[in-house]
Amino acid sequence: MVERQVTIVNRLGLHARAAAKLVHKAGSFGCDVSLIQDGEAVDAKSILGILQMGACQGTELAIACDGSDEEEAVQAIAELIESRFGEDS
Amino acid sequence: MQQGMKEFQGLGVVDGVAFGTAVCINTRIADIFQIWLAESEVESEIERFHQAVEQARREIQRVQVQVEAELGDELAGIFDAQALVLSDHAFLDRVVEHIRKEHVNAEWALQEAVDDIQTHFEAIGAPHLRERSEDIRHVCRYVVQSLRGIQHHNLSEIDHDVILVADDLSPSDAVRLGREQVVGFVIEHGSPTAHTTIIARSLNIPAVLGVTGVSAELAEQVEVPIVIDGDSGQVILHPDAATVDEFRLRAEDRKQREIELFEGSDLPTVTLDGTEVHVMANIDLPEEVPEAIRFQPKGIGLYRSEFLYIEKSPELPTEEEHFAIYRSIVEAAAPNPAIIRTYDLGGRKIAREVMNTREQNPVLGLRGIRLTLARPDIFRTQVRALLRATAFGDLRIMLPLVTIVEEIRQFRQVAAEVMEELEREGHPFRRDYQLGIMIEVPAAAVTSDLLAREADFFSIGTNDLIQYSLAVDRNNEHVADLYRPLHPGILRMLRAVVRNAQAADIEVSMCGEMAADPRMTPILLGCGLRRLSVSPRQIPAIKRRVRQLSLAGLESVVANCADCATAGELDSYLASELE
Repeated sequence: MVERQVTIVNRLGLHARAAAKLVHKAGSFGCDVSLIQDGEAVDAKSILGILQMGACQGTELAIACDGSDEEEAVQAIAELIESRFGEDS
Repeated sequence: MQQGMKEFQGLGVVDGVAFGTAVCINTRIADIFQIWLAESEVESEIERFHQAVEQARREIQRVQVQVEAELGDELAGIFDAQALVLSDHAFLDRVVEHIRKEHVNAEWALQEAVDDIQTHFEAIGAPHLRERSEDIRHVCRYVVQSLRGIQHHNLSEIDHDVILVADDLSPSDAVRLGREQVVGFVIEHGSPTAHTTIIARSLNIPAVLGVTGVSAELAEQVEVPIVIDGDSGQVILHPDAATVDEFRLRAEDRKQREIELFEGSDLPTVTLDGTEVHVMANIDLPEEVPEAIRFQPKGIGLYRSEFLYIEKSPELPTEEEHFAIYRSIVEAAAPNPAIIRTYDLGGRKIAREVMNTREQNPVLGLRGIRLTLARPDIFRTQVRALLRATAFGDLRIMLPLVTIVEEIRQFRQVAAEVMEELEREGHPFRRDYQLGIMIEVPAAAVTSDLLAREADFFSIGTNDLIQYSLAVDRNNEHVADLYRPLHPGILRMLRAVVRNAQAADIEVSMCGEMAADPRMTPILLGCGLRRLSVSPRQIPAIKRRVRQLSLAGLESVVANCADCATAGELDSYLASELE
């Protein structure tokens, strides 16, 4: 199991399109992927879970991955979040 | 029987006048009843639910493909998210569990699951995230329709213009119906930031939101004539002849204004007292260039080269990809200049991947010119393409986030090496290329006299300059009211930058949002600016404003503004000076 802290940096936060990208990315790995906010974990392969976090810009989260490809998964998801989901701001 | 005219007032969100016949569609999930199932029926009910989900998901994906082709993938992403809801096991399992444990019908179980979710969403602070529960509701409506075997609303048998009246409209309905005879939307609920509104805007269909009572009024009537104004927010049923005439005039007016938007484009942009002002275009995507050129700008004042990096990510763009874009832009801008800014990505991605560093505060971290210089091996590709494109027109290179003179020198050093390579390889380029810098950090503004000795031009980026100077994040609602472009500190800095550029005899322009606000134009001209770069559709408004102004006296207006101690003083002073 690996864990990494990230901050949501895109202006709109985890809105619908960003959440969709995150779910696709998480779904491309075999390991379990969760996002943890204030001790509460949601399944990153569930779009509802992610949308319900209501994570806006500046929210600090932990990405936790558990499984054979956990290293790659944590890296890829951290990058997606830190690259602002490809958004301009 | 002739019905009396009846007017409703809503919130106009997509501009335009539309005439037609009102067609009401009921999108609310009509009463859902709880039905108890026998033990033996449970599994087949679950199967019925899965089939309905699959059908709804296919329908949404069909709309997604259509939107992607016609409106671009940005908007298609909305439907991607909706389709994902229907393959979200956490959600589907919950519905199945309700069916299995409580022995209830799928419609009821679905509603229970949605109600659960709704309470979670209500706790979310940011409205644009809270509103996403709307997407969930829309998606579930599709599933209920499939469960009941209800056909989607189909207007194809109607042969005249329709204005759709709905209590609520899902983005997929908006796309589907918007391509039929629908010329306007009246939506009883909905918000300006809802996905449906965004879709209506990109389809360019006038829309009014938040109008209550229209569908109730229409309940007992058929073929009701209706007019709407998506600007004023008026919705009128059974308009009389005078009203129809008035709305026709408004429509004409608007068409005329759109023509006029382009009409003045070829007029010189000079003030009443004869000074020319260059209004240029800010461009994000190469596709924007043709429309921008129709507004006849004095060149491309800012091309943000990040787009290519974002599009190609995680790969880096090749030299030929860079070159093809730069060449097409500089050729389109000719004979005017095209200023291309080297990439200004947040840098986090590359910083993390390549530099193997972690940043506590990325906004103040390795970005802009700093990232560029830290990785000359990556950056060289862009520099080679930029220099090669100088052979095809007046291409100027601009560096973002410069704070010290050494950064300009280091860039010139890299460029000198690249020029040697290009020469050896036989590529044409201009040795005397122009190199400018963004002035967007307060320290750069304050030391602009020193930077002006080394840079060939300045472009003031007000968004960052204001944010850094005032230490205000304007997206933070708690301090957003402190984000004041006319803060005396900002005005003093602007005047100093322009003075220093003039003293060094180099060009200075402004490319931030402040330049695109016609209310700011007199102030900016008073600061001595003569070059403003704005997004393409703002060009006509800024040109018009310039033509109404007289420079005489504006300089002292700005000097007085820069001495106003409070925002209130400033407002009343400006009100008295500028009409």
